[in-house]
Amino acid sequence: MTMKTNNVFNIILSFCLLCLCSCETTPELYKKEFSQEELAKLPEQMMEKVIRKYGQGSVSEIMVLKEVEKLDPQNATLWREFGVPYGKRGMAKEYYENYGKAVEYDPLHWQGWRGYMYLYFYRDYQKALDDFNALDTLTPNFVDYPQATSIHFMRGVCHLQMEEYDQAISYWEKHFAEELKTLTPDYLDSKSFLFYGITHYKMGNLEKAKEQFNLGIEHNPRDADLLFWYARTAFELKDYYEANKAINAADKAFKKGNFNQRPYVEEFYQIYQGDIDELSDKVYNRKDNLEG
Amino acid sequence: MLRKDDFVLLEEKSLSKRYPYDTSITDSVTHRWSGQPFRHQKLKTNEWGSTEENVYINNFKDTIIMDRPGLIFYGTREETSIFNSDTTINSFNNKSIYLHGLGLYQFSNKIEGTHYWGELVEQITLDDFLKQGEEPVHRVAYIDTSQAFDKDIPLSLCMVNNRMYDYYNGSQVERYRGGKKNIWDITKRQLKEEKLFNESGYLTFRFIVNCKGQAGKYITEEADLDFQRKEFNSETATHFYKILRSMEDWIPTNINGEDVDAYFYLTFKLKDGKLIEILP
Repeated sequence: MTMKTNNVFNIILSFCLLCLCSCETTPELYKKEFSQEELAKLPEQMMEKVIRKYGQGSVSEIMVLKEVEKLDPQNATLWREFGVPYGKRGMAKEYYENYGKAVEYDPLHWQGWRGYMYLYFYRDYQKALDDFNALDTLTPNFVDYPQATSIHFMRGVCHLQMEEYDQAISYWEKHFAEELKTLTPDYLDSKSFLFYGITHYKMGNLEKAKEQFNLGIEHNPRDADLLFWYARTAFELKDYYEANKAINAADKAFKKGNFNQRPYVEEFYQIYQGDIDELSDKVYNRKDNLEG
Repeated sequence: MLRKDDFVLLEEKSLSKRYPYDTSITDSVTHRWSGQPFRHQKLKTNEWGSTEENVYINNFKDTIIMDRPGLIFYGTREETSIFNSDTTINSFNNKSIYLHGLGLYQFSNKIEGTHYWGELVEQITLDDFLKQGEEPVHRVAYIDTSQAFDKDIPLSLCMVNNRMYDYYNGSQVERYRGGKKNIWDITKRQLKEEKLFNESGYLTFRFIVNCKGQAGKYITEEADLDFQRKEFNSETATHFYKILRSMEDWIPTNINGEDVDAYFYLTFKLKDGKLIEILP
């Protein structure tokens, strides 16, 4: 038998305690009176409490959200909060219905986030682009970062996945130009180099792809993904010596956990040990050509 | 109800809606105060185990709120949950205010620096409450196991911390041995495109992966590519269900070093009879 104290409780309803007394005579039912001022503040207070205290999608959260809905049915954060757990848990229709209302009531805040969800959770690149473009019209001359990710970067991913490589390249260029206005390349996400390089790889521009992966490796020397794609490109270019060096480094980096992954969903072009092993075998089969 | 004069302190039914019990009604209880600490006990059971709640009242003070006389009780509340062979005990410092004619008006529980409190906002009739209970609220992604493809195949649960987690709560990198690459390989090996009937949409299977990595209780969520409800051809759904059943290397969700039960899902995204994505 194990005895534990657990400080996680999703069961206590702070705002809605339902209690019925058994008395000899039926008493008048009690209802707390709120002033107009208190009522105006309640939705925000309840949303803050919901987000801080209750598990997303829990019964406790749903009950409080339903109370907020009665007070402020056009509260965009409410609908976002209703929708997100459906998105994370594979319920597409319910996600869409609820999250759609968040976008309807406050597109400035939620249109980009919905685009992010379309892109990563549903791999619906056209719908994602539609949201990113709509957001752009709301914020002209400003680069948005929904979910802390540059909208140029996400549009680059969309076009890459739609095999619209020229458009992808133009967004990678915009993304790099924008980021490098305020940052040094060291601060750029390694995936910026990776996906830019993969776009060239898909276009058959292997030398340019290699250059981009190499640039990424300069700033992220132990990044398994960049090393893997560098090895793959070098292999295609029949540079087996370079491919061998890079795939061995990728293997070491991967085993140390230095590879791309995302919470909730698979990362684009996520690599697995099996991918590294397969490429290693191919390179090994060319072992006669491994001299540098 | 509070009738201090004849020493009946508490006589109430308490009704609550809480996971995983949905609507529960505890028995009416009566305590006669003799000046000594006493214990107020409630026992609840459900399909996976039971919870015993003990409230120990050590002291009280008189009060008046909204012109109603009342008592403030001080004590501890102890919740003991038993699921399989595991017992979890949570102990709170408890303060409760009972008012004449209202019953429980306010409570406050403190545990390990965390403070939970509640205040009576609205009373409803028992009939209204029971009506609400006819449509129980479930947590998002609850699986009604009686509707599962494999409803007759038993799946044992550990119910660590009395709960079912979600696949993303854990710290594990892979959710299936070999990752999505392996899931794709298994799927491609068995996929028969003639079973896809030119279908398009998101065919999602939600299921449980228990603490031992065993999967079961599969149900479907079906939507078209515009996120509207649709029904896939039953042969298509059954075909993917069979493929999914052949995946036997799920990795249990791990929370703080402990394997737990969790809801998982896998979506087969189809376009014009082709499998174009496996999510998440």
